[in-house]
Amino acid sequence: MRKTFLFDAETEEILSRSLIRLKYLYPKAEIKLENKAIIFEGEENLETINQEVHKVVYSEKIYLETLDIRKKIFNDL
Amino acid sequence: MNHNLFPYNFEKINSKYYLVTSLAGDFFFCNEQNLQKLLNKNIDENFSNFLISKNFLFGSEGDFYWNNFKYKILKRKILPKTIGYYMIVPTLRCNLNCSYCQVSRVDENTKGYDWDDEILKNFFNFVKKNSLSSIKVEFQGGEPTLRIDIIEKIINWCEQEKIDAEFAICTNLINFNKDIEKVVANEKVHISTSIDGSHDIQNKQRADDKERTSQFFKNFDYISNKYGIEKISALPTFYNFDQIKPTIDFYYSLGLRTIYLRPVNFQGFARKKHPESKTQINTWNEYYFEALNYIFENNYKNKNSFIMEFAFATNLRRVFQKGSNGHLDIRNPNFAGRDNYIIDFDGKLYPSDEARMISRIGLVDLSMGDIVNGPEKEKINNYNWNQISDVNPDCIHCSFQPYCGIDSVDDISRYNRIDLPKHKTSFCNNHISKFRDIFSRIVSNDPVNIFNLTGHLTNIFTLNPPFSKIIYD
Repeated sequence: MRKTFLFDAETEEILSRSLIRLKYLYPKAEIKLENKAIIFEGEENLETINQEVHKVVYSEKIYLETLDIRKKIFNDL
Repeated sequence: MNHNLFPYNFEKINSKYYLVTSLAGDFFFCNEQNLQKLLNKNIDENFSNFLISKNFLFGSEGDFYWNNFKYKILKRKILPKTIGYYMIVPTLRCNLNCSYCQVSRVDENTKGYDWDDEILKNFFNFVKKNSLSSIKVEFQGGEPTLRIDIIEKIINWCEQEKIDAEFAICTNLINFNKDIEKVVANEKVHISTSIDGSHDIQNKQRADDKERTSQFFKNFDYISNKYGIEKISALPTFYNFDQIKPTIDFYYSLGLRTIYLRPVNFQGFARKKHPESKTQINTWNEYYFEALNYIFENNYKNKNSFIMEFAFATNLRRVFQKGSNGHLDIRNPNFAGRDNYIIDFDGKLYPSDEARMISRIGLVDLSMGDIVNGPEKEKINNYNWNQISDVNPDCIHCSFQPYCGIDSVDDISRYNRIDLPKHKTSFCNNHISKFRDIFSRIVSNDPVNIFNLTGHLTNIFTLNPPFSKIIYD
């Protein structure tokens, strides 16, 4: 199964970090980043992968966007 | 107000809703359309007001919402700075030989496995130095009532020193003589015992002697009739999962109010006779959730005879009651040497009973000093660096991280290492399943679930949910 997920609106940093995490989660799959698309090639179920890729990308987005706040709060504790 | 979002995570919880949780543990549910609005920060006034009410938004650093958020995180993470809980093993000797004994035991007549006067004296000094005026002491074993004299000395010493102490004796209740009753009669003493099921199951799995099993139930009845059922708590261990429902029925019939559903614990010597316990978490959880449904339906039907499932109640408190940080199996950070110690028969200190188990089997030495020379601070510090989930790359992206715990001992016990990806560990799979189940029940709006959620959280079973508006449609 080969599937392309396009994330036009997201930054390179978010997508690069997502790629690392996806490779870590699915070591047997072929996963690469081309322009603003994550290309996934593996045996996994399409619905699961669809959900997982989006979850990973948006989790990285939230993490990066709120990292400064996270740091400030923990520094303050 | 500017739209500044606090750190959050999300998780698909069912076909209709996503769960959104903040770093401080507040949460709500929304559909995919509203999740997209949140992710893209396309937040209208209505949504903004809802998010403010849930403490997901703040105006500027240091404002009321910022400080409220920070306070909640602090409350979820803070641990006491003095030792309030001691689990002590006055003897490793035992008069039973159960197949899934976690910590090893030695024969009742073996010498050299009891606390001596020197350890006892040093224990008193240790408590004086490290505790305030309120402590809990749990007596474990072996069979601790074989040294009821030590238990009595500790209780008397606490009274003399005006320490407000509570005591739990974890006993197999095979022997209950006058000396033991004299100690148990004290209102600050509670009994914790093991009941695996009806007489036949108990006999097969515990005493392996019909006369002793009868004696156990005779002692159980005697104590519960004379001192009230609240004096005793009991917990089963399952290796035949088909026995779970009959055992729940048996607990109802005994009038017990709590049951802790758990499989054989892999961490100790039980792994020899029950090696399947290493990898059975998914199978166990299927049975566990079915059993939980069974309890919930029975509680709802009976309306005046309730049983609480201990793990569910503990996890639920982690969601709703910020500051429920007392359960070592599920808290973060989970620092050793901060608020509790296990003191073994030889005076060695351990951070948890599970650490004692895997040290006893020779897997790794997790003793952290001894009662004579005190804690080994450097070893404790090294250990504690791995007891924080906030810096784990898997946990920081998990929606359940604010509620979940971290337990290096469980990972070491099963995999001989602590750096496995979390989603490949039994601990992670177990707790993700359990939190997903909790939130599925919360969003279900099903009366059976609401009745039991309220009951498990407040001890009062009603149809009034313990939360306000939680869905943003």
